[in-house]
Amino acid sequence: MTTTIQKPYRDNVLALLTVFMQRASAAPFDDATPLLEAGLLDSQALLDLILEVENASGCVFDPERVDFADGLTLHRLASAFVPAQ
Amino acid sequence: MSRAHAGLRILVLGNGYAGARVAGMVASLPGAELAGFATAQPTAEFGDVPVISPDFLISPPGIAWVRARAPEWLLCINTTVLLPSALLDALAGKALNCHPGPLPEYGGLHAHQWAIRHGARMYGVTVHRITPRLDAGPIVAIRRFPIRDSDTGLTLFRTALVQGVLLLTTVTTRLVDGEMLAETRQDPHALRLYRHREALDGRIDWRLPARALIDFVRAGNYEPLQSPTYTASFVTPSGATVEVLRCAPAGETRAAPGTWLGLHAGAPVIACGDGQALTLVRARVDGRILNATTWRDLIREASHA
Repeated sequence: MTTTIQKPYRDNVLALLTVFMQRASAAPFDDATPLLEAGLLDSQALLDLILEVENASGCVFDPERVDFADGLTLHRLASAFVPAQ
Repeated sequence: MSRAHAGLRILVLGNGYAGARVAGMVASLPGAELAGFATAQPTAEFGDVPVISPDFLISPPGIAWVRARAPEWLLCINTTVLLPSALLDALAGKALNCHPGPLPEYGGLHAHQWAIRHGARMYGVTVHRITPRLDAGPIVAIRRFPIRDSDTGLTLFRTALVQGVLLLTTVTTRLVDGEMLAETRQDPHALRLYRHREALDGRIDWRLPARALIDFVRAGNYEPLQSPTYTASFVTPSGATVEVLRCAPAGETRAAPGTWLGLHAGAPVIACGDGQALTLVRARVDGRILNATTWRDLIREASHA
């Protein structure tokens, strides 16, 4: 899958995702935790997470950049955000 | 007009990002006071402002609580809770809902998906008075925005939530400024209420025109979330359910609808009902995105079935 997002953007997005996840879930997680499968997020919470990061980062979420078949992790989510045109 | 109120007491009912944004807006707006926040999954706190559940809000004790708190307005966003008449009475009818669709043409549930399916070029969000009849109250404000060719069901819903927060912020500012809100009554015959059960069938009918299929596919695309209604799909002769997330025009064909015309750039091309063909640009089986190799395997299995 294409993950050409520039590293500073991705690091910023990953940091934001981590902050918002800490608000959404009291359970422990890291960048590689499969969030849906572990029950840390549901669809509504994932949608909120995407909206919060888009709002805070100026990036937009493009799910076609990443294959989530092996689990939806913070690392993969971060790779799906791209700077807004 | 000067700010006539020194703390307009506003109760907010809303879920997720949009609910929290509107509650935060009210809490920080000069001249407004957040009287309470009803939300299903609290993720934000606003000092000592009471946070309650929507179920409590619409219960008799909750309605008594509302009477005691005496909010001057209730603002609703991103919620499907139906407000009982007793609650509307307690609020003297001063309740506004931000509906994620332009009224009266797109009321009810999943209206954004229907707008895409209809090939609409514009969409919108509406703030209206809450009345006992769903989405039928007088319109206070409406904000329209374009539907992009790249929009999916999920992206248009996200846009509607963000635009809804902005519209409700504008309306709340006018309320705090003491402005009387002009209202436009809806034509009850023009109100179209979409229902959940109407939007559940995701089976692709290859007899439809290519354009209609493109829109059907993208309206059902909520990747990577679970669609609340359907994901466009078809079943191969070998029994595999293929979920289609994006397709694109592939030119003319004389083949019968549903005929597989081969692979183009690693993706299959299939005939539609109007003499046009579509390339299935992005699709998945069992959650895994298909590529040229997996498509070939799937086609080989289907030919042996």
